Amino acid sequence: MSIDKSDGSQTESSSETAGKRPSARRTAAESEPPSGEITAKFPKRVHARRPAAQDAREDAPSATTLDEPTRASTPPAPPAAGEGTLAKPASRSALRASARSARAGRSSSVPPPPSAVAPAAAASSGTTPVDASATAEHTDAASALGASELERATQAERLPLMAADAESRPAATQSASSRDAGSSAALAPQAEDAPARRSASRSTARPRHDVDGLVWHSDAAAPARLRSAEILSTPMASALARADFADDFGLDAGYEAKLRPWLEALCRRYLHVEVQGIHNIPASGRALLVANHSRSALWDGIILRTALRLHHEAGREPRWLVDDQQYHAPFLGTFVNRLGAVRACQENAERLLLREELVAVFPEGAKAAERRFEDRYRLQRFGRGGYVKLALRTGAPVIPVAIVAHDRDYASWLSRLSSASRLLSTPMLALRPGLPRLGRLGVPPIASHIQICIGEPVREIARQDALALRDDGLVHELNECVRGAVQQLVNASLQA
Amino acid sequence: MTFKHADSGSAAADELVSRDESAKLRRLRHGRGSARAIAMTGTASSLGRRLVAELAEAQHVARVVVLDTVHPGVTGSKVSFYSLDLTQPAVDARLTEVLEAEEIDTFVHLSALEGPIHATAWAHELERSGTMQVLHACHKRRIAKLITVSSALVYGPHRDNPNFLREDHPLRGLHGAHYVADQMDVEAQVEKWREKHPESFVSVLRMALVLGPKTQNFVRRYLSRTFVPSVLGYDPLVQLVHENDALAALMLAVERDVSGVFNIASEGLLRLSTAIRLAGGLPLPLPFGTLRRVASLLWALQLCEAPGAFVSLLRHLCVLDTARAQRELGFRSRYNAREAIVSLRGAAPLHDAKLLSEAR
Repeated sequence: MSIDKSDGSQTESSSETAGKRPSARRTAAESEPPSGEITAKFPKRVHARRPAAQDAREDAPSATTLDEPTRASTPPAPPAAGEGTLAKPASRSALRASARSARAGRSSSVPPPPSAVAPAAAASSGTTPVDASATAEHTDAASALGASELERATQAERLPLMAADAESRPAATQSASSRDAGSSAALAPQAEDAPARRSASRSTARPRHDVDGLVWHSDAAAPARLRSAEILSTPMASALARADFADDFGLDAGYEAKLRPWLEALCRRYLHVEVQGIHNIPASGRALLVANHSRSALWDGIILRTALRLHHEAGREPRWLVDDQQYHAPFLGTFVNRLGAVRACQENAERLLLREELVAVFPEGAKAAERRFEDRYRLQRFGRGGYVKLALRTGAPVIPVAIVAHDRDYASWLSRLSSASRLLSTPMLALRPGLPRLGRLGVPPIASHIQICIGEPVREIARQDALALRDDGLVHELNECVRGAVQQLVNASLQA
Repeated sequence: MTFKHADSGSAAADELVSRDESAKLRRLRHGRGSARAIAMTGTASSLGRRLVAELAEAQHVARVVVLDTVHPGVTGSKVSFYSLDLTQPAVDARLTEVLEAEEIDTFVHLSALEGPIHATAWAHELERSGTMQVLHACHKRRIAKLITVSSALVYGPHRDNPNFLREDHPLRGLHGAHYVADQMDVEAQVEKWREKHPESFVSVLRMALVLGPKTQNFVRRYLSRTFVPSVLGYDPLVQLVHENDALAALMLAVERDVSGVFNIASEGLLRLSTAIRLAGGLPLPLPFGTLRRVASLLWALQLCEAPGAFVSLLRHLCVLDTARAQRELGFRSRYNAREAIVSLRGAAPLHDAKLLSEAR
């Protein structure tokens, strides 16, 4: 930069250095090139506020000659700018401005600092004090500008968040929608309630946003809004709008939707799932489904969920509880969790039921995998009856469900392959008797036939009151009662 | 849930409680009008600094007394600063002096570290001994209201955690993590103090992992990596709290006359892999044992943000149930987990730009 440049350009460079707060090491010559877009607004207004000090400034030696002394001896900040504003810190915006101006004041030693000016300039009349005050003044102005800019920028940053939030929240968090769905009128006091927001609306420079976060009242916000739309909307809004929120219990709606065609094809085409007594499942409200395991513990929950979705008129989908062994298995646990499984524990089940969900439990648990092939239709013990207590506590009806994998024609083959299917933890491997001759792959899968029988709610449990919880003997009896009901359903299905 | 508490004899207990509450209220109000005189520690953290600023502007606050080694950078007619080092012995005498002189009725004890540090001995001094001294001074001054913060890590990520941890869930911490052990000790001390002072309001805010553009902690450093290590085969749900929500909860705790432990978290849960991708990183799945050993080694070399024990966080659930805070504290999260992460993304370029301009 040379002396004969117009004062406008020089103002620009100095205001730009003040605005960007470079360190003292940075030279004026270096600071010139990137001045372009960031501080495009600054020069005019700073220029307008600048007094006659420009002339004094131009008397000072050029920046190129200033280069060396600046780097050599970085003088302390001129205290005028920093202290002047620090003395009146009333609000946070003022504080921020003061902090900014303090920093700007520190860095304002880069443009001709009084003590670092070459001896010739120091000798040439009393320009230095004037220069110092001018620097201080316009850094102050620039910092005030910068503060309001920052303010607006942060506000602008928040806009897409709010907007996208308003769009995405109802879809994303269905569970919490009961709270949020209290309409915007219900939201209104809430919006004003949070102190963080209140402070935001208190600072005068900021525009107020309406309840839904979309309506803006202040005209001052208009450019900020435009800018935010240009700069910030693309990556952020898209990131916010994507519905990849997991459900409270880990159900991943997008993932399930992706797998849904495959699961439905599995149920319809391959397993030929048939559902009886679907009317026993209520169209709404909580209910506890108690089911046996057909031979594969992994798939029962998925099959039950898919089958109910396909056959129930209200399309109700149960969440099912899985034991720790399965839940904490690497990959597998996450897989079933994303499809709607929940770790089996009283707190989780209770919370689901209180949300009026349909919950399926498999009280046989891991025991089901241990039984011998001959006993495949005989139910194992039903644990300690935790689900009975759950039903008593929440008042949910207990609905027995039998999942029966029919294998009449292929029993002999299955007995040989049962260990294999257990190993793969797949649903029953159904094989045609003439294995070697048929199929290109040697093991042509044939649809077996799975029947899901849903019984009437167990009346014995519905009759009890909450006092039954304390009676362990009674809980055990009820447990056996439910087990009997499921066993009956299995037997009925086999005899049909 | 509700019927669980519906035991007989609760009416008498309620009456007892209400009598207790009114006594507490009388104590709180007896100062000057209803305006509070608040003392704060731990104001050097970003949360503490912002809380000072908020309190200094609040109507119901008469004055804010800052007790710390460094000035919070917030000034105002209501704010006064006393230089105090909680790690020094016998600092409680001076603390009591200040509390008496300023007629403090509310103490906000925020000097909890934002994450694990290598100087475990110093952290031990600051958290455990510091809290002891603070509680001692509070006892002498007969503070009417005490507020402390803690973190969700005191429950710890465990295999058998239910999906949502309520306040009455046993605190099991994180085995081998000094940071969490210190926090549990602080909680135990505060709990003991609460039992001894039934006439005071004592609230503990257990925050989920705090995240936000102004917060610098180990969670943020973890999420801002390019390749973010995760545990192979596991993808737990993570819960976060936006710094503004954390601040709002603290303000509510100061405003409202409530007592007890409150879980504070922002709405919404994210899968860890989703969180990592939202933050702009790529998940790098590693086997649990390997990751743990590598993390321990890197921590010893001061090259990573948390010791090996914290790897459990990437494997098991540690999610809070905020129902109680909503019910009793009136807490409503204004941000959700996604916004907490995306707000980092907006802040990162700004942060980088600032660093660049300052480095030049």
